[in-house]
Amino acid sequence: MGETRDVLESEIGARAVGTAVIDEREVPVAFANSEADVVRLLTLAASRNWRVTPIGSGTKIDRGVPREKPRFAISLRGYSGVTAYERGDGTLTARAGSTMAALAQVARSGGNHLTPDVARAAHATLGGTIASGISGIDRLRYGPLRNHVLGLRVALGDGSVVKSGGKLVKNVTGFDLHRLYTGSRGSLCVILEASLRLFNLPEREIALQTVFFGRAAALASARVVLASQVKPTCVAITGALDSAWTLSIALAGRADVLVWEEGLVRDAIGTFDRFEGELARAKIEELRDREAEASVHAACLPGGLESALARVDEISAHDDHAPHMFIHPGIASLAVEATEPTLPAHAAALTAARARVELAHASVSTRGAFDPLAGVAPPVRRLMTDVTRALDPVRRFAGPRAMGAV
Amino acid sequence: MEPKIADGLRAIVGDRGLTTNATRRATYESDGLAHVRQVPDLVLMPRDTRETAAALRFLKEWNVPIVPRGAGTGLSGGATPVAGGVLISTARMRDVIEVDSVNRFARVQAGVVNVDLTHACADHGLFYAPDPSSQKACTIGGNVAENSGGPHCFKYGSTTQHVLGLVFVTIDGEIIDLAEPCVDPLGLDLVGVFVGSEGLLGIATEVTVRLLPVPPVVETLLAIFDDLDSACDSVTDMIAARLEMSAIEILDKHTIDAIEASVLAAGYPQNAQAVLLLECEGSDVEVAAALRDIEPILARHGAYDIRRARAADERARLWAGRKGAYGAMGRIAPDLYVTDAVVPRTRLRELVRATTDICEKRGLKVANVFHAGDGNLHPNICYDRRDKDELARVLDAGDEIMRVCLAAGGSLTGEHGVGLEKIEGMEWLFSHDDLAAMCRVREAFDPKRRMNPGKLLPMRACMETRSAVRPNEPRNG
Ligand SMILES: Cc1cc2nc3c(=O)[nH]c(=O)nc-3n(C[C@H](O)[C@H](O)[C@H](O)COP(=O)(O)OP(=O)(O)OC[C@H]3O[C@@H](n4cnc5c(N)ncnc54)[C@H](O)[C@@H]3O)c2cc1C
Repeated sequence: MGETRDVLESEIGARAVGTAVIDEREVPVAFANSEADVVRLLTLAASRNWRVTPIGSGTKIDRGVPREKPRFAISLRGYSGVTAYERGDGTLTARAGSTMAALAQVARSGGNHLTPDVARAAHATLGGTIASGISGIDRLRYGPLRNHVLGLRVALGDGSVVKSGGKLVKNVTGFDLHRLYTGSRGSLCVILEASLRLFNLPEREIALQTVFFGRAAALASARVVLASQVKPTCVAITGALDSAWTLSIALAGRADVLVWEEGLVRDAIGTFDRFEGELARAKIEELRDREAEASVHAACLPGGLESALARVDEISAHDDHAPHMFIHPGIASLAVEATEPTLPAHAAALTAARARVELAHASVSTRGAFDPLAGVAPPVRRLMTDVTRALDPVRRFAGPRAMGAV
Repeated sequence: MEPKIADGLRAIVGDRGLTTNATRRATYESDGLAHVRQVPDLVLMPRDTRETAAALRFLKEWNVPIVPRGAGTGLSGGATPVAGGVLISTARMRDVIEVDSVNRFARVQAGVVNVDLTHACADHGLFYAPDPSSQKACTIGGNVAENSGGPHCFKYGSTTQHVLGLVFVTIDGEIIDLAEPCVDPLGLDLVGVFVGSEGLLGIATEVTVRLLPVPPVVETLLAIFDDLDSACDSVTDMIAARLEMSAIEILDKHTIDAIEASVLAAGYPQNAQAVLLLECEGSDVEVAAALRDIEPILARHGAYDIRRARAADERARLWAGRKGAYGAMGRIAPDLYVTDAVVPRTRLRELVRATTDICEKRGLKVANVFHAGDGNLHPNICYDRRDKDELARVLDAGDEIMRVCLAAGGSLTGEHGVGLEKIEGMEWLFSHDDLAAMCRVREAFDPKRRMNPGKLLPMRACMETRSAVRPNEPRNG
């Protein structure tokens, strides 16, 4: 640690070196303020044969399988700012260290909406969000993050800076390597800059909430809303077994359409508490941020949601603590605030229910014991390894252990 | 080609799965990039994934180049055969394997024709969104390889946003089964990188696609202009106002004339210099709200008539005219060079003009019909490929169109792919390092670069890697 710090300090100055905790280990962090800094740090790592990992603000670093041990981390937090905002074309390009909140604000000022609306947006960086492949609470309406990444500029392990895609809403020139980089969790590259597609800024935003006694009733009502002509940004059910369940519905759009949609929701579920403007935003953010703290995240097919829930219930029945759950029936995903000892059972049960599972905020040993790729066929795994090797032949990046690493 | 190769392949796919006859092989000599032709040495038509894998394992021994082919409607030469190679067609992979209406996905074989998929799910109230104008002929496998678009991709996004899973076979005959529908991949997004890879990474044999519910209300409008510039400007304004529509298409005077003179006559007014074909979908309230916003923009830009399709058959006619435009242009000249570029939507008028000028300066007749809402231009140059001088002027115009669009912040292709046609342009848009990264990924799938060689990635860019199978240059003319 000491030697690494010394080397980093002499390379980029003492004030640009700090410490981060990654997977329960203290790791020196070099703060890059420019693309040239990133390249310099990668060149340094190459000259010493050190393994590195890129990080943003670290808000999602403890999700998924633990990483191989990096010698140091390269933080892009200081490399921020919008490089192009094409309001009329509905696109935005920004440096990787920009926070999602700052970018959302820029988009808003020009009448655009930036998706994904991710947890802890004031800290979460653009690069970290894309690298973790996480979508936001607004996914039901706007779709997954990967659909909106138009192009990326990244640094590869050998220090070369390469681009893929571009800044246009439609473009099929060349391989879509940005699809590979999105969600690659730092195992392939350092994301430097990204271009995103923007959406129409809704005129109004409202949040509707109502409480049910029992999850089944809440789910049934949510399904009625989802089957209607309403196009919510989010439909979520939260609660714990044997307690009250809250159904939250976020609507956004033109004022005249919202009046009609609200009427449809009323027809579907009866009365509700209604929040508008800042209050609505606060409700949505509360749900978004709390859900991100859950320890098991799973996504399945809509038809598999009931069986996934039944598996969680089975485990909870043997536990004193009924976990709080966040269920999004519209996108068939759920998050469970399970206790650490029950995590392996939850992960295994949900995987058996054919859900895609990720553990978060759990100890390294718990996360390390669960291999989300366990069910992936050997040829697919091998190909992932080959692709990783092709882009990073000397394994400069300390990626998550399950991300194609052998 | 060595007779033992045909014998070995016949043992795998049977007589019906192999074409050796010269006349029949000649029908595969080109795709929609008609001036580049090469008769394939063999045409193989496996029935499924297993046969494809067995054939590729066998062909590995012979080290020959492979070219995948769907319906051959591609416009950039992606399916042009390579001399000394085997063309693998998906023409016998036509099964819709599964339509799951609860989870809203379908699993199909790669040779299923785009429109047949939508027919197969219509009874469930579902549809497949990407709708290339060639949808009556092109295959889902071809759509995946090209990441195809279409008029309604303005709202729904190109093919990549609708592919939930894939089965493909690598050049070595290994089956990569990623068929399980998933929006977020487990591990690296191999499906994401395969889509749009133009047949260089393997042969897709099965595709799992997302289906969408048929919208309750659809309104189709035809806005009529007496100049093309105003039609372009109205689109730029609609985009800036972020109107939520599902399709925004422009057709110019030459296109209108060609359609109206054909069996697809749709009732487009022949005194117009341009028309905008617009569609809004959703609930009646949403559609009504969108129409309230659209009409003033159209009027401001001088649309002197705005017609609403009154019934489903009228809507169908308007779209049939649009989608049949390329065919209709056959009346103007025997060949059509369909160029494809994307530009920022803020600069539509300027670039449509520039591309038209480029053609007219060379004495070429150009007709514009394009996905204006996505900034996806298609200046279509009418020509006769037997006229060498005209062909040279067409290709020269195509090059200049690419350069002008790139200089304006645009890109080489919005949906037709790079193929053979734009391979040189790749070096104008991408740096050596950018291309090297693509070559490295390609080599992870196909170390000897036997799959669709000579397409998409310039050979020079991949030079530093191991020796490649070099395709013979296809002959021109
Ligand atoms: C009249 C007309 C209108 C068109 N309109 C549109 C439009 O609106 N939008 C649009 O995007 N395109 C359009 N196109 C272009 C073309 O139809 C599309 O690119 C289409 O996706 C090609 O499909 P195909 O089955 O014909 O593929 P092919 O032309 O046979 O092949 C295209 C490419 O895909 C590869 N390929 C084919 N099948 C596979 C497979 N199973 N696995 C791996 N690689 C494969 C081939 O090697 C080739 O590189 C149009 C073409 C015509 C002629």
